[in-house]
Amino acid sequence: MPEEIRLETTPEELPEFIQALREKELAEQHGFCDATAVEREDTLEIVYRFSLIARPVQVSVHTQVPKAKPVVPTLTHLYKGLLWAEREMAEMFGITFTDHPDPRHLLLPDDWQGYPLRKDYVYPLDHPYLAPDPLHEDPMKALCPPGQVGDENQ
Amino acid sequence: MTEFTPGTSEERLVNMGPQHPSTHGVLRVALRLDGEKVLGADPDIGYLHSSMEKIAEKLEYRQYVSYSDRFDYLNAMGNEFCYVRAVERLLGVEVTPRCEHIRVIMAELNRIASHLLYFGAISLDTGATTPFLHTFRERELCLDLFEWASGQRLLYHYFRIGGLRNDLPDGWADKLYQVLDLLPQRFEEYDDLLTRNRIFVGRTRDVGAVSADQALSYGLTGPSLRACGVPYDLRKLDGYSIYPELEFEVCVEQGGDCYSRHLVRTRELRESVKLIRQALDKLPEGEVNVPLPRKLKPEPGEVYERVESPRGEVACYLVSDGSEKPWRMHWRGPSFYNLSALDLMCTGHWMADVVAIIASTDIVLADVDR
Repeated sequence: MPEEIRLETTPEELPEFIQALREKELAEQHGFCDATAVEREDTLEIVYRFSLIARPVQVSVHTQVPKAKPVVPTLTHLYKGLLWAEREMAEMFGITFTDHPDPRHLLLPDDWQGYPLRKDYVYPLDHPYLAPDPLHEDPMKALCPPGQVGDENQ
Repeated sequence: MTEFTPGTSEERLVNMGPQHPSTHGVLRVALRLDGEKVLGADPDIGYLHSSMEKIAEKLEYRQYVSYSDRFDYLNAMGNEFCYVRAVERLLGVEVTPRCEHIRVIMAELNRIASHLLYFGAISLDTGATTPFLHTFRERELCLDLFEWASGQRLLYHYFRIGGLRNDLPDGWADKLYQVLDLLPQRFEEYDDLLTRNRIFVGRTRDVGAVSADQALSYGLTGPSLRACGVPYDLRKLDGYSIYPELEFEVCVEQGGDCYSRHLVRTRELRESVKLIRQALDKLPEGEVNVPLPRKLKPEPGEVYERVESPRGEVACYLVSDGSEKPWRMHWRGPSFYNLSALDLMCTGHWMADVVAIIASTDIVLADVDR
């Protein structure tokens, strides 16, 4: 079982906090591990994880951002693995990472509305990807609308 | 999504995928090319996104085990291992020694099956068909054993919270011993066919190299990281389950290129055979299941459980609010971070090398997209 070190900071101080961490807990060889978000009562908690290589130690940094205005400075200049992790959090939770070099959607289509991993998310059933497919409802009608194919033979 | 924009006369954008035999699933890579030289590779993922994390919030803990098979489908046993360990730690449940041994045997056998598929895939992608047929012949032996024990050939649903679906069938261990006797000879054959093949070495050596610092910054794990000289193997480092009782070596290579990644996997195949043999030799008698209540309600809290999959560190981050369903479940897919370094690995190489690089990272796209 790895030893877990849990640290907390505020979103404003995050880059300086991680920089300082690299001279203390993360002074030896370590790797970026994972980053994700968890919805709490009225905040979103962002969790960054790092693993030491030589010892079974895991460092997690937790920070809370208000749900109404979730803005965090990006850390992609420190760990390249966050390039994708932050893009995923941005589209799934609606968190804005300021100065992210590539703020496009990662997994979802470009025109996707809403933030699917939030608890209050409602599935957009009118979206073309989720709307009922006419082909499933009545294949003959969908493939051969009246007055087009084969009508001259009837 | 990368759009086509007219560049200079020399620079053009070429789409590789989404439907391409060498992308191992549904992956689109937008390649920026100058002639045949790669100037940049932008992976476009999400084609297999299936909301695994959102689904978890709607299901009870026991119902999710079969979902955990389905993202890294080549390592279904390993994912179940990670998930059931996470829930058991949340519940404070200890499983029986026999169960732990069988779990490790299954996870390592699955590692062999997964590496054999990798071996076949990279041989096809670098232009050799024969090794593919050979490795699939031996992978079949592993899948037959899985089918015999669990009833399934790909998505097993064999691990349960607090135990296993059933104990090993009669005669299963003897058959496994026969397979273990056969496999090391066959691994030598594969190395003759592919690993020591001049064309293969030429296609993969010094291609797609990353340094240890870059690999750690991108969050690379598994063979991709160990090929850079970093001895990061959770089986040794964390020593979870019964791994501390077993003898094995962490396979490390120094080059960081496609060939080093390949060498790490060929050596890991042999280590897995050693591990299974040891676990099988000391397989204790006894029950495989511990009794648990019908409704699982863990205390509020969170766990982050990580295990070593054939592709790297797979981890389940589970947050419980004390109800029957998880409040939040997050999966760290090793392929997700391994693929994010594709641009770094491909830039500066030839277009034909992209295929070798994708194959050598051994990604599973369902694991990338989850």
